[in-house]
Amino acid sequence: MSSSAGIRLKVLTCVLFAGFAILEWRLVQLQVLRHKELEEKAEAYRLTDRVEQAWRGEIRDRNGMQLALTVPVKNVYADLVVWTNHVDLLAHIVAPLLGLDQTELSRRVRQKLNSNNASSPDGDPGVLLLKRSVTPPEWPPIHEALARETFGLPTNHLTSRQRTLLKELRRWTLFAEDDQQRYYPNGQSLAAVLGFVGNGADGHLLQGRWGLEASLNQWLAGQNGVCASSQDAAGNELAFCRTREVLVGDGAHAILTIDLTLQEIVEHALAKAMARYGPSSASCVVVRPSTGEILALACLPAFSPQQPGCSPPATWRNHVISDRYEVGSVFKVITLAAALEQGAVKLNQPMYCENGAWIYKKLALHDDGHRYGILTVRECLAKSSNIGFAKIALVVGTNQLYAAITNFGFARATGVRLPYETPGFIRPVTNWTPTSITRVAIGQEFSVSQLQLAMAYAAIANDGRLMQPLLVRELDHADGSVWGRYQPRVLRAVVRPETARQVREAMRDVVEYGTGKEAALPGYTIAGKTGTAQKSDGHRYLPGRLYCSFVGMVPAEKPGLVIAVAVDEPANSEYGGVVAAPVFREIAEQAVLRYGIPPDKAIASPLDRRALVRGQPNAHHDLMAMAR
Amino acid sequence: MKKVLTILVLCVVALCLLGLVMLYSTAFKPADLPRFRLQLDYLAAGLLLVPTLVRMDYGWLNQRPVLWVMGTVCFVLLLAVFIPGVGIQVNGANRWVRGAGQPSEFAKPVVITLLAAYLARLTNSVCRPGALTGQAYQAAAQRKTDDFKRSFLIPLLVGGVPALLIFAEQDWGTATLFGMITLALLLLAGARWSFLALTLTGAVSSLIVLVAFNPLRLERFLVFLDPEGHRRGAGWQIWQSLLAIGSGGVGGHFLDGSLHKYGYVPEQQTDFIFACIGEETGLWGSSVVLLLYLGILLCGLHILSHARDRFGYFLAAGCTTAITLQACINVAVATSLVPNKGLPLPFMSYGGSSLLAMFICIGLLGSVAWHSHPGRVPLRNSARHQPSAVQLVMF
Repeated sequence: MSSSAGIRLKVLTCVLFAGFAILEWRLVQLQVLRHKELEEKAEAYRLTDRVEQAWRGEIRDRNGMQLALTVPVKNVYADLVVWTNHVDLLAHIVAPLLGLDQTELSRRVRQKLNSNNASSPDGDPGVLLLKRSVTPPEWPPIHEALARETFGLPTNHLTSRQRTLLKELRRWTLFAEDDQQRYYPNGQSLAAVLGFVGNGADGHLLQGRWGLEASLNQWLAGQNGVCASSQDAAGNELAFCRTREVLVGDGAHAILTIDLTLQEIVEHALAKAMARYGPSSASCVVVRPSTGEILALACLPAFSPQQPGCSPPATWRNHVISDRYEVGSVFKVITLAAALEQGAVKLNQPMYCENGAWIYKKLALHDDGHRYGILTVRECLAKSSNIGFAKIALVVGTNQLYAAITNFGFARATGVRLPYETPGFIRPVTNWTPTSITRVAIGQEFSVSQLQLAMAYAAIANDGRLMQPLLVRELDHADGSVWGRYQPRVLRAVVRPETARQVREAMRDVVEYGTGKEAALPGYTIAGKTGTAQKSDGHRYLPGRLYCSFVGMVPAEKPGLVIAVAVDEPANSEYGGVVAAPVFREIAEQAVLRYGIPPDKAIASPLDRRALVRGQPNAHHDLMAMAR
Repeated sequence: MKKVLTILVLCVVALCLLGLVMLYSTAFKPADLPRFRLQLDYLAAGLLLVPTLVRMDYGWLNQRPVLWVMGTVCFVLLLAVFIPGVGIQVNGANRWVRGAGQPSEFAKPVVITLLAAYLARLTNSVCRPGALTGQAYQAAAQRKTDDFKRSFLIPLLVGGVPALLIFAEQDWGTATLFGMITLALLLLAGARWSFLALTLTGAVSSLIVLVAFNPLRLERFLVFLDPEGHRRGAGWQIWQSLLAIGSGGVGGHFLDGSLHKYGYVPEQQTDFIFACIGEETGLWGSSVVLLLYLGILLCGLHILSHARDRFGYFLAAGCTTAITLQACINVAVATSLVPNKGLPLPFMSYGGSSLLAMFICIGLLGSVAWHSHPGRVPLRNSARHQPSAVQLVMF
């Protein structure tokens, strides 16, 4: 072997040694210098935070009827990786499956592809949401149709690349992800109370945006299950790598105090009033005075909680709690209660009503269209004399009246479980003008919400005890066990039971022969008060824009229900006694049947009965005249 | 020599055992476990095969009929791959023959033997002592080594024809390996540098042309240039391999501690077993593996330089380069230093054909070592670097 051979062997040896040296250097580069970077990138593939979506709880009425529930749906996506080179072909196949327009579909995909190519440098085209809320039975046929699809490839002899392509296309052209959809089985009923949900926030698929859905969101939403772990390349979890695990806790069910049947009765009655008087809105709240439970709360015009976007946002408003009004004459009941409680007046005490016009401290006060001379206090209420009540208030005194108002819960939010509740507004006594007391006494110069008014009436109905309004009766765990129950709560005794009884007695006159005759219900004693308030824009009263209301209770002796009806801006400027009282009667008529409230008054004769239905004690004369 | 042989065997045994551990580690599905069992069977076969080959006198192979039979069988098997029904297509490459494994693997020792035999005869005929001396010897030697056809083209064909056949099987990695072994042996046999340089340039340029016109290979090449950029498509395997090796760090995740083996690196049990080694044993373990191959290389170099004859010299050189080159290329692929080739890691990757072929190479290497000792040299081969007593001139 010559020395040349030795050199050649050395050359080969050197080449091989150099190879090993390069490999070792490469290992150092990868495992030492780039270790951190590569390990992070490797973990990015492996680490998963699997989220198991909590099921949003139901909202039910007091009898367990479902008001809002969650249904499973699927959102269908396109994986644009496989779409990139086959947009038209895939759009042609997919469009009829999903019931979409083919050209529109291709356009959307192209647009998304173009925008993604511009934005992401690593060329990941991402995914595109093609269709929302596909119901679970709809999805498997779509999926199977794609799994059978040949995508224009000759299936009998495929190259391995084509086979891979076909597999990818069948698997990834469309895929579905689970989603939840909120369903309101009763349509527009109770819409303003229930509110609606929007797309998810902080990890939940559904997020309450309005009404109870928003205020009870934290209970309804539940807690998502989280499982931090690693996965293999196929996406299966490697159970031994689990580092953190939070079990899913489905949302609680909210049981409301609402009675869906009564709610529908109320909504039906309001709808009739809407059709008859064409007001801008009509609302009603029914309260059980002994507990403060809200049995029905309706606002019209309503919206569809399913698709709130299809109605103007003005219809979302819950007028009962969010709007404040100068309620007018219905407030006289509170003034009367304050006066009786104080012993300032007696029910049969005569008041001089100045023949319909009274100038007090240079400001005129009128009894609208009437010239009353001397009326007893109870007549003042029945006939709704402004002058009479201004004088009663003067007897009560400014501070005492203000104290009574706040004592009845006005000027403070009731704390009902709904968002955007108004506390109402009343100026502090120090800011009152000398004539303020005469205006406050008849429900002017300050504003309250309809719910506050209803609760104040309920206090009178409940022998003077003011209750906390209850809308949510119970929260139940997802498995049905009770989580918590809201107990009726007496806030305070605002008047003595005797005073409350006297006020109710005076209120009976309103229905029997006063302004609220339209509310009379045969067989039942009704106590109530009408109100017809002029609306103001904050500076002056707006002519022709009235707020008509009626708040009543049935039966008057031991009231089982307080019903507050308000009709806002009826088209033909009617009185509350004309517009709102019949709505009250219609609701009360069906409500007493529903709750089995026994009649407490004899019905004299069929003729009287018909007369009573019309609310006019002497109407039988008219009927006879007509018969003649 | 006994010591060297012991080291060689220890290196191989260590690689085989580490390979078994890694194979067990990559078998994370119950369906993967039969692989482990099969590999054990092949290792047992190797346990019988290697000592037999070591004790066998390798000179027996250097007989014309034996060489012809080996060459013909190898050629036929390589062709059989293309016969539909006999050949099996796996992953787009015709590499398998039903019932006989991968002919390209078994072709490795055969081609090395053929080349060694030819080159031994060629160089022996050139420098037979006593036949030609002085000026005349020099001239004759010059003439013979300059004879392009005899000294270069024919050996190139011996290595090149199988390489081309394997190339046609779409197994570019093994074909390249064959080309490199042939060139290495020609280098050792004293081919002129210019011929070598020309062949290398020719091979590289034709490869470039072929890559440029083959979309699959072009893609693999582009992937090699930027694995991360192609990580969603063709670069997935290489990129995941890099991530696995890189996340191993210095100390590694310890045996069976790898998480990236759970399906992230395709073919982890065969061609990409180094990814698992890198992740589980870290820089230390990977370096030990490289050192073991380096040990085989050093042992091989010692053995070939003490071979009793030229056939043994070339045989040992061929086997050593085959094993170390294949190991280097495999690790280079796993660390993305060269484009993806599809070569198994000797002694460690799962696969019967590859394992047996490598055992045959080790066996031949051991045989050269065993028979280098003067005491064990059969009578007809009297001394090292001496021409054989029986001159079988093929050409």
